[in-house]
Amino acid sequence: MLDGRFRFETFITGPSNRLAVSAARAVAEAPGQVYHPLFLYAESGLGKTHLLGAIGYSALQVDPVLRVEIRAAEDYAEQLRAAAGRGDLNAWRREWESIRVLLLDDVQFLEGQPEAQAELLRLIDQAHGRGFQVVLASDRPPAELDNLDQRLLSRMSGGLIVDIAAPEIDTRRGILRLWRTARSLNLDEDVLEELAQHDVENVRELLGLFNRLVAQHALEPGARVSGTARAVVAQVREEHAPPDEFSSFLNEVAAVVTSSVEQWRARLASTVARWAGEGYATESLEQLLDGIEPPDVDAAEARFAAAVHQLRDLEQEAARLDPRLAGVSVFRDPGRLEEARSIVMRALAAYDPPPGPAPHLTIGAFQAGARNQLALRAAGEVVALPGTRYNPLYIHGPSSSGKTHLGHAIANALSDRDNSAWTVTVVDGATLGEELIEAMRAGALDRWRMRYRAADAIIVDNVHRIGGSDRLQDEFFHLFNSFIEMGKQVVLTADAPPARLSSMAARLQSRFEAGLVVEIGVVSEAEAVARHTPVPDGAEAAAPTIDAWFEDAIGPDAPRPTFMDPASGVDSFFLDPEKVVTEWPGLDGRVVEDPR
Amino acid sequence: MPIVNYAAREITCKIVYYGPGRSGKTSNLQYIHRRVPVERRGEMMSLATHGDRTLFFDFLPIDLGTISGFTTRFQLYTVPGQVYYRSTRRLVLQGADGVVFVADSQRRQMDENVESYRDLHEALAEHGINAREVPLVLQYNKQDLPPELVCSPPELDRALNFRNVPSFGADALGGLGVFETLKRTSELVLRRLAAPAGAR
Repeated sequence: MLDGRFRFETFITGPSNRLAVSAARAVAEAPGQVYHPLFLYAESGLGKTHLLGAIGYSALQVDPVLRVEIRAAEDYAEQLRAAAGRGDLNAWRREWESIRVLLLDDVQFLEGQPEAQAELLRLIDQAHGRGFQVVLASDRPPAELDNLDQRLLSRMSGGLIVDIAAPEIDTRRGILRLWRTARSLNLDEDVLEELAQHDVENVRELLGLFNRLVAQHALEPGARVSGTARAVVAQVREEHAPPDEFSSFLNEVAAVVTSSVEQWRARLASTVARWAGEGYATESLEQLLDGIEPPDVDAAEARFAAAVHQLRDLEQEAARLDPRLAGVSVFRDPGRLEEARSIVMRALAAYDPPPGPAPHLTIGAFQAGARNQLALRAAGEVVALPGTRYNPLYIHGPSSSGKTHLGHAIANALSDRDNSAWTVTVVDGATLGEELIEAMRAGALDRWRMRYRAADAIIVDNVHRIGGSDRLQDEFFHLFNSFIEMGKQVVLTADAPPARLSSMAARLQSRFEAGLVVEIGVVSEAEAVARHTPVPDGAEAAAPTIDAWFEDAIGPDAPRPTFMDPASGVDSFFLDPEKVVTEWPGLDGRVVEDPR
Repeated sequence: MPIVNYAAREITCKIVYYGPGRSGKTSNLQYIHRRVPVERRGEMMSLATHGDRTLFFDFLPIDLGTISGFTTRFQLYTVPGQVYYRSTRRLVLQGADGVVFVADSQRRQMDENVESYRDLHEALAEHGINAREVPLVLQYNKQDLPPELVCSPPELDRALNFRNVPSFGADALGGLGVFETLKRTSELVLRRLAAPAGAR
């Protein structure tokens, strides 16, 4: 049955459907003459049924006596089955063969129905022979219909296949204006434009939008129609949005958070598993894993790997010195690196002890006198409070002044501490330099370092002889610092105060000066004057001993005058109380601790 | 940086929608608000004039639930786009972990876009934020308008996106591109959690 609403006049033509409309008009005006069959396809709601109806309506306008039928393919197949069931197939065929313009809609429903397809094939062939028109409509082109007889496919493709696309904006505008007119609505163009701008997939969706607008406006007649239109469009758009848009967003955020925030735990756990598999204690890494805040994983892994590397070297060295130390658990625990190092140092000290003091050079055997009072007193302080009072103790004086004796004496005194548990090494600067060169040449620098670092105190006699090489001084700098940092006593002797050790690096000079610098031995009047040793404020104790000047000038046993008789022949400069201080405060006041 | 409270295991990110007046910043938040389940969203606070323009700012808190043990929250803000609300924009931008610049795709709005984008860079600089490092995404809104009225995303990229940051065409009213924009911004913001300190 034809629906009079479906006419070409009520079908808005645009780029999306112009070809289909043109073909439809052509077959309506001359059925069976131009395209046989005409095959229209489009998604649902784009006007296939409307065009079929328009063809029929128009064909009847041209020739009112034509037999025009519009049928759904489902009905066609159903009637065929019924006729076959009744045994009345011939009558059914005659009925269909008499139709001049057959408009068959939704032919996709004939998929998988071979009997219906065979009858349709026969009908198309017969119609073609008699100049009748068949128009088919489907939601897909023939080639996409499944289980279709190849001969029928060939016939369908032999006429004209044309599609109808979704209405573009101009078509949508035209459709909306048509509906406005049809319903006699007073809607402004801008309102229609608001709707037309909405990209729809088919005309039914547009009609739904239009109907909502009309209904909404009827409910709220006071509202601005353009605002209502916008709201309606937004609502429809939202309804058409994917339902799980937020879930999709949430999933992606979760993936990013998981990979970003917890990534470090996964990495650390993997590192722990790897080292644990190699038999190393991984508590230090596991503690990080238990933490709340993410650590610097790169740095933690690098530290652990470096510690493992050092442990391996230490174990190798320990096993060389004492095979019983191989495999000791401490060498599998990076958290006990210092302990492992200490074990190796002790083993090394037992295997190849650093040089100790000469036993006969004791404090008791040291000749005390006015020239070495200060140094002797400082030595006493160092022995009483090693590593805490004056560190380093720097004793300088000329050759044969007794500084080597005093250095050994300090070492012997320290060695006797705590039931002789202390390891005190005494080494000449020249020897130290030679050993260092040999260790570097033999690639045994670590062993050399540990051998000395195992000591509880070090006395370097003639430290000025270490040598002018930067590399040697670098190494000594690190050895010196390790002792100071660990609170181990360092005593240095030299032939000149630190500032006058021209070949010594400034950083060593300054460190030597940071403890207590004392002079020992004879300082002649001429030397003292020539030396012009600067005496910084508060460091008067390090100044050349004025006692020595007087002893040399007037004899050790002469009374200490406050005024000198010119007849004695002493240089008048030394007799001028304004130039030379002759009355010093007590000795306590002359030992000044340099702030470090 | 996003606020990551490891003790309380919470992550809070502040994302600010920036752009010229009427470019669709509030529409973005309104669409997100409608799509987020009620139990996940707070009230959207909006101070607007009668002309639908944002007078102060919009604020939409979203609770994303517990992710990898972290309670994750997003706070979305818009700034008033009108030129004379400059100081308000500065305040809202403070502490932003990520910025969405919503441009109006209409050809006649191009100057406003450029001016607002420049204003964004000035505001970031005033807050001591390096515009090269802050997570920034461009959204070209109103792409649903007739082609003759709007610039295409490639055209807008050429005019605005000299930093070559991610950009999306959008129709904020209908929702096209809204979540894509938010997703990309969130990803950029959250990726910074894993970045080394020097790369943040």
